Amino acid sequence: MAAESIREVQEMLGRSEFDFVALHINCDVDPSGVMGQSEGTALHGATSCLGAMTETADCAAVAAFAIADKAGAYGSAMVAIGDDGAEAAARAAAMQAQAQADRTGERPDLVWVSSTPGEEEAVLAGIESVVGRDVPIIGGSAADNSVEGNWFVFDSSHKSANGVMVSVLYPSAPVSFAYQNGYSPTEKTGKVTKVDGRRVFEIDGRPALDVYTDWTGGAVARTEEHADPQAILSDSTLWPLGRPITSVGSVPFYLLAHPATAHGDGALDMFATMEEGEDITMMTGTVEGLCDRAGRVASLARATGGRSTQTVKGALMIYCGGCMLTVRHELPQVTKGVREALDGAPFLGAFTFGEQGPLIGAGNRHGNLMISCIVFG
Amino acid sequence: MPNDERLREALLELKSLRDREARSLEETRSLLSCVEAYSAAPNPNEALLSIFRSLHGQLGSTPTLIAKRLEDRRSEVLASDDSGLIGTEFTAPVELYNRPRNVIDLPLLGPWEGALPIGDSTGMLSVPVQSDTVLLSFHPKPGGFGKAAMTLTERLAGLAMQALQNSRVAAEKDLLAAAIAGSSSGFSIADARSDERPLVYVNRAFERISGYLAEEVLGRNCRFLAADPAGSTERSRLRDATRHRRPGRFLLRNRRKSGELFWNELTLFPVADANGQVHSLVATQTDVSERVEAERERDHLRARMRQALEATEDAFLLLEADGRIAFANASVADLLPAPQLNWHAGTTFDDNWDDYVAHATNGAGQMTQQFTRADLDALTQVTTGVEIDLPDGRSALVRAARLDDGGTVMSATDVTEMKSAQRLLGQRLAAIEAATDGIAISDAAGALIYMNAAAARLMGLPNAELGLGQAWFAFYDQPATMDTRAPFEMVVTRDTDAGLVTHEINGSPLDNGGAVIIVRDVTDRLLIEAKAEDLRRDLVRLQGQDTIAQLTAGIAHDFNNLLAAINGSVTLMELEPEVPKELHGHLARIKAAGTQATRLVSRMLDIGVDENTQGAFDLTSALADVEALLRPGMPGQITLTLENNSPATALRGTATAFSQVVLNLALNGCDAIGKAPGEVRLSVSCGPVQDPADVKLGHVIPKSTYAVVEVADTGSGMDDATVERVFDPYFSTKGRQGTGLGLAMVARQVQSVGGAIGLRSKVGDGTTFTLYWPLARLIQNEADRAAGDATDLSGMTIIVVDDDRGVGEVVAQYLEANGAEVAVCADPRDALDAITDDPSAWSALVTDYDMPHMTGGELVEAVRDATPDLPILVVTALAKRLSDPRLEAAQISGILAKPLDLSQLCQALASARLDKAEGLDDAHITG
Repeated sequence: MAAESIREVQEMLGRSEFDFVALHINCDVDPSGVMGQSEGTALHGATSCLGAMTETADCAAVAAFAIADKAGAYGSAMVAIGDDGAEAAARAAAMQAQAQADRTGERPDLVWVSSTPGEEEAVLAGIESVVGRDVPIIGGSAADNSVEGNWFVFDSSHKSANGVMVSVLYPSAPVSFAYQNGYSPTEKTGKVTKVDGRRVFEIDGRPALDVYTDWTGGAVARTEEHADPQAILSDSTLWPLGRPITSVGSVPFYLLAHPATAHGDGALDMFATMEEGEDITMMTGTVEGLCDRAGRVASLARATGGRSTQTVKGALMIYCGGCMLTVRHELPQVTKGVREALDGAPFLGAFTFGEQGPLIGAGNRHGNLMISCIVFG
Repeated sequence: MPNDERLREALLELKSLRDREARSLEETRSLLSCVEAYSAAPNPNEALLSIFRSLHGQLGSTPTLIAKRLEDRRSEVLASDDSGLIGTEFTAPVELYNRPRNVIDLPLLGPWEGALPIGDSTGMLSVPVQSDTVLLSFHPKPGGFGKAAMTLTERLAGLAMQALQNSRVAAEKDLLAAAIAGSSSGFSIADARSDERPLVYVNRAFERISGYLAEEVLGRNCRFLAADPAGSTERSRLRDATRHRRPGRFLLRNRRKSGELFWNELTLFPVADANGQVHSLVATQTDVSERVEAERERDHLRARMRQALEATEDAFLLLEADGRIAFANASVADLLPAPQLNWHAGTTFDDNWDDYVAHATNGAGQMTQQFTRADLDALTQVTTGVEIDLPDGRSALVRAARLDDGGTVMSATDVTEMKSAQRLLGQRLAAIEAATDGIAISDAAGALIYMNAAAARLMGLPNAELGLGQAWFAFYDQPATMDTRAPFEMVVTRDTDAGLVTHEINGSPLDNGGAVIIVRDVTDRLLIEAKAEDLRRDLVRLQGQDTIAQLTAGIAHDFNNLLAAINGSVTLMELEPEVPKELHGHLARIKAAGTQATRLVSRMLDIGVDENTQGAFDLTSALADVEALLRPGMPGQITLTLENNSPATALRGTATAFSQVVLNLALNGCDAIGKAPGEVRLSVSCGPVQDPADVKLGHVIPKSTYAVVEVADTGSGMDDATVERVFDPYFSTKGRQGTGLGLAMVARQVQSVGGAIGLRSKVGDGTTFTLYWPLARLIQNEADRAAGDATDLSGMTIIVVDDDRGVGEVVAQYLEANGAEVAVCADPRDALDAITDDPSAWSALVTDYDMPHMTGGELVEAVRDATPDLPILVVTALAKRLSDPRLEAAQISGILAKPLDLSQLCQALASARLDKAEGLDDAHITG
């Protein structure tokens, strides 16, 4: 089935009808059939947890979102992360994408990014060094099906399990977007007192796992029967840690970090980089909220662009893979909400292990458990 | 959904919307601010600058500019907030005019060529406005322009372009206004909506030209300037143009405020509003007084020039730079006829030339390649002009020159006569050089300044140059004492290696005191003249002898007749037996006196008679003498041919006279041949001559026998007029080399022997003289007449013919006394009739020679036709001069002289009867 879909995409690319194609696939699908077939088309490829949702499928192993826009310009490039690091790779990918779009040095309207998990903040910095900080960079990290590192990204000629896939979009039609999460803060707050990158050792001077276990009331805790480290991604989905990043009025808004792994030494591995001294708040969410959130973000994206009552051509979405796994069985409800929000316009929603997008007042940020939507008018 | 979450979502959505509205509001404010600044600008240029300033203020851009596309990807700055950049050319590393660009990393695009100060810029906004203009904003800081900046710039770009255009229009208006105000030409505007069309504006130049201040004329119709009569053509045209709001140009006679008149060239044009309604009449005024006066002067000069050129015989042609004819006088068409275009102004030279060539080709003249194409460029290169021979036979000297304005002026002079004169002069000079006479020119001192080759030769110089500067008289033995102010003539001599030569000098004075000197070598001529003088004297002598002879012959003739009667009567009286004896003595004395008288008359007849006409000579010997005399002196190129087809024959006259005649004719032939090769042919025959047609002198008796001597040459021949005069004394075709007496002497000598001269000649075909020289005849001398005894003439029937009936009767009586029967005829025609009627009835004929109606010779000739053997005796008083060839010995029995010895007559008759009888016997014997 997936192979047939790949052939369809291959044929589509062969016709050179489209200027941009976002192809998000289950990590078990081999994309080599479509690589090398996209002359004249910017191909943006990344794995998506289990597959991706579309207006016709809740979770398709192969999902493609294509744009035909001769008046616009599109460019995609994947650069493997090498010794120069993720930021350099992201910078190179952005510049190559600009060159492919024949817009070298020009500010795009939007950047669509897919990187393999781990150094998303550096990726954002690399892209921003090329396009500037006020260009929205929206995307999600490539995901496999079981957090085993089987993810990869690819363009028309390269595929990498440790790389950055950047697409620069200069559409001729207006675009609008939204980047949100569906969580609420709890009264449980603390300060990161010891951290190394994405591994938080201590919160308020205590082992981070202990604090987190306390905050969740034991709902997420390390158990002896689990190997060390213990994956807690699924369990922690409804209780991420939030860092106040902005506020509307006096109401703070948080950038979420999703605890992924619990170590025996009490450390917690996150899907986002933490800073020592950061204030953290345990957030809480509900399955219902996660199910409805996708449609609501899509509506917000339309509203932000002033296109609530106007027809949209389509939309690209990012839906947190962890959330998807949590509401896996409720995916029809998720896609239904999106279809309704977009009035049936075609869309593609990738399930990712980390989400990037612009937060109001905070610029482009990498977060977890986020949902984003880009609406093409 | 928890309320908290719902609240947070609502807040976030609200925040998003607020941000969007805030951005929109900011954009609107920015735009409004820009538009306000734009609108508040006092002029289009400030409006444009306000946009630049707004972009700088709102976006931080610097510099900002509007550029125009040039060729080869180059651009030029049309406007900028940095005025120093205006006009700067540059080449961008990317295409600027196809779409908007928001460049945030400008160095990535590559280097810019030109002088734009953007080296530190990192951002750039480029917004094309039209296909060939673009608004550029540069940003000095990293990150460049945001999306809102692009939006604002795109919105302002149109305004900027409009401002630029407005600024340009305003600048043009300002320029026009300044130009009008500062123009040296008067400029005025009248309100066309008012019937009065009052002036609403005048510039300073109008004030200066008219002398009126603006405040004096505004609100008035400008007719106050008019000085022309109201009905003049130009004013009428102007009124019509203003009435109908039409443009026009007018030359008006105007008057300044000071009263001074001037020529005003007024240009009028209406100005209409968008609806086409004319609201203003704009006029420019220019004081063209100087130009008009100059044009009048020019026209006057041009008219005079045209008249002069029309009057000149030289062809004059003026061409415009494009080859069209500006002017051609009448002589052009005369010299180079072009019947179709006729060299009219406005037609092209090439077309006219083709017309001329076609006309000339169709004509009778010769058309050469030279005329098929007129190369004016080549002609203008030859400053001295080119002489061409026209197909109609004329020659022209053509000159051409380029004018400063690219035109061409051509002139052509008919030099046909001049060339003829040159040719004639050349021929004359050649003739002078070739002349055998020496021709020289001397100055007042006699020094030679020119001499031809003949003069040099005559003066003993190897060439003429050696004699120049020397006095001509220094070459002669005699000192010159002539007055060169009057014509002079002299004969001078000089010693040469060949002996003393004599030159005749003729001098004609010249105005400059010099003289033209003609030198002739007259050495030979003088010799010829001396010889001619001798000949002339001989001729005169001969003519005198001839006259005397004719005179004495007449007297002798009459005396002889008288003596014949006297002597005859005495003879008859002596025969009478009854004459008394006392009379015998008288009769004897009468007879003796008669005989004496006869001898006297005979001697009278010898007076004036050329002895050369007497006697006889042998033709063959004479011809040998001629050849011996002639051949050594013949020029080498002339062949002498002698053909003698005559038997040994005795001719009348002397061999000397014959030789002189033939030599003279032969040498004339040599002269006629000249220096060219030729032949002189002498041919001699003898025989009866019928009636030659070429006889020019003397008389040829048909059927008589002559020695015919032809002297023919292959020389130049003679025309008919010369032939007619060739025997006249002193007529010569040899100029000074001839005497004019040679042929006259020939004629005299031939006539003296009774001969004739024939002449055939044709110019270029030689000349043939034919001598008809009579043969010698039998003349009984006095010794023959010694025996005078009476003779019996019985049986003879004799017819006696003499116009003097008395003589005839005496002769008849005597013959009858000797037994003959005699019939006397005074008219020879009667005698001829009688003989012709019955020739056998007559035994002999005795006839006088000089008779009316028919001479004795003619009678003899006629009788011989009737009876060849009838004995005939001719009696004449001029026996010694008778040269009638019909009376030669073969035709008659003898000639007896008057006064007639009757006994001699009887003996001659008896002898003749005897000869006839012997002839008959011989005939019988031989028959």
